Amino acid sequence: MKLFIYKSLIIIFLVFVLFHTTVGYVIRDYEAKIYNSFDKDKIVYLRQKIREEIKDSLDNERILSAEDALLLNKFINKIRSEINSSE
Amino acid sequence: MKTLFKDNLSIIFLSLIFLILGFFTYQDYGVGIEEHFQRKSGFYWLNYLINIFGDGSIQETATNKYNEILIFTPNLFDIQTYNIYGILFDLPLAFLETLIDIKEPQEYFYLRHITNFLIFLLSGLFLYALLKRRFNKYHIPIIGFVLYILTPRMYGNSFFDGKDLFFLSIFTINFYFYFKFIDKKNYRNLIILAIFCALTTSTRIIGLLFPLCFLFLLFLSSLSNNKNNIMLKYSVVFISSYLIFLYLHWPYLWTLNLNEILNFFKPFFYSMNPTVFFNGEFYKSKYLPIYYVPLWILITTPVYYLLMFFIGFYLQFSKMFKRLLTIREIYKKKRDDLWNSNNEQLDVFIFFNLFAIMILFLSVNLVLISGWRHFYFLNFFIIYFSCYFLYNLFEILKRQKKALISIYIILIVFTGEVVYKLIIYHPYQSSYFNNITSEIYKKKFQIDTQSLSRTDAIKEILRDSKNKEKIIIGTASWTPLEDARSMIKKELWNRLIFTGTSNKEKADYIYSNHYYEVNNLFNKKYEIPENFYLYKKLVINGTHIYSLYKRKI
Repeated sequence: MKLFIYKSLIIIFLVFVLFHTTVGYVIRDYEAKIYNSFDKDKIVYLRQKIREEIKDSLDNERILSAEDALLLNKFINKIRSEINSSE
Repeated sequence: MKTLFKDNLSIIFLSLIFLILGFFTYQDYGVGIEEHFQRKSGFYWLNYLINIFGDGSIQETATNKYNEILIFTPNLFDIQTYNIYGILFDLPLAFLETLIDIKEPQEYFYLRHITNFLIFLLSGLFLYALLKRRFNKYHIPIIGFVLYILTPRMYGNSFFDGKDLFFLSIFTINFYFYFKFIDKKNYRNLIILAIFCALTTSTRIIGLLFPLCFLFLLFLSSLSNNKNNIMLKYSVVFISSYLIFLYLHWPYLWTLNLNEILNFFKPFFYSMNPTVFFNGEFYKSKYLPIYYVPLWILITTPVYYLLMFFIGFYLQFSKMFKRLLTIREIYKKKRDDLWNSNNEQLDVFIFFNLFAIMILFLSVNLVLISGWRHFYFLNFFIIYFSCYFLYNLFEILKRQKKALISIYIILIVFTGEVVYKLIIYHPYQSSYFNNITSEIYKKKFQIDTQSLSRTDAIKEILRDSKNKEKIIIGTASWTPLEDARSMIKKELWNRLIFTGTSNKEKADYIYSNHYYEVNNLFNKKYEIPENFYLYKKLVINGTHIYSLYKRKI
């Protein structure tokens, strides 16, 4: 009986450690990566940065190059025609 | 009495030296970040008890002092909401402060500083007594005592950290009473142990592991020697006395409703989740890497402590492992499964405690800030296993006198180096880094997280602007700078205007200990305005403590 209790305790302990050093560790690591990457300071900074970039672009004579403007025009028209034809 | 004095002459002499040192230096330390809250907590519960039991003689003073705290530091957390903290240190000090009727704010904190240091020194003496019972050879108890007191971060914090260092002290004393119980098993010693277990738990909830380990060892004892009845009696007496004493002195339990019992641990996991700068990266404190505490220990504990600890821990681990392999249902000679003597039982108990902490650390996502100060109680294990290693080493070398002397010389030299570091870091020993940490690497960590440098900074500002009637001071870090007024004379308070973190550009000086709760690469709230220049920077041994900026004229 005594040996059974010791063996059970050791097995429970080993399973616990094994879980936390493998699966548990990976879950914790990814959870930490996700939460640390989407930090409020970073998001606020990025929002501000995008806002500044848009403001700066308004001061320029052109935002898009002639070639890109033509490409986007064709692309949007194609999408529009596909949406219309779906009715 | 005479023999007691003669036997302990060296420890008495050393204690006196530390005592004198403490008395000469305790006024050099600034106010710690937790001290105002702790003082408020002490007075809140003092008033609470006075209202219940009634003591008119001190009621007025205690109420006035509590009201003063509310006015002076209005931003401190509300005690009713944050009632999980034990009152073992704060309540007696509030009572003492009221009884003596201390009026000068500096004096309140000096009283706390010297008391905290004295308790730390006392715990060192208990450690000495424990080591003396366990390894009474080769001056091990003296070595253990010196290593314990001189651990740089512990020594520094012992003057102002009434939470973590106080917990280390109580935790250490608790082990002494455990050994006293296994040395002489009777109900008196068991109840004393239960009282200290209750005090440990209320001081920091992680102290709950101590009584759990004790019960686990009682269970193992009953497995070993089939004395189920006596072990059951011990368990019942221990649990009941533990719960009674815990209830008697812990306000958290007084205020806990029955329907909240299921959420008993929930408040201990509450956190503001600030950003922590660690190892050169920014992390949310709830999502720190698993190596957060181990790395902090590795870079802030003297290297020879670490080496001795690791070898000592390995020796104990291998001994336990071998014992596990030899467990049988019945033995030819009388023995316990995991130990052969009281000394070995103590080793196993200490080992289990450390193991339990490691398991908890591995399995629970703990919210940590301010380095590893919440884990400073681990210093007990570092010292114990270092002594365990030294004892084994001395046993191997006991016939080789030259080798023994060489080891003593090595220990004296290394400890001398630590003393030298304590002197150069003074009074910022709490910011100590060991010799393997380069100056560049130190920059990847938050340093003055306890905001100890606030007092020095304000004194420096006052020295620099003697002729100025009003001085406007801004803050560029996560630090309530205005709270440090408590450490300067009251008549100077009117000259100081604290603007906090807003309108920094209009201030005369800006203080920063470079401790931020935000990612300062993206959040510019602590940026120093362009109309300021670096007036003073305190760097000790390559560790940047604080900076003071002055407005350009």
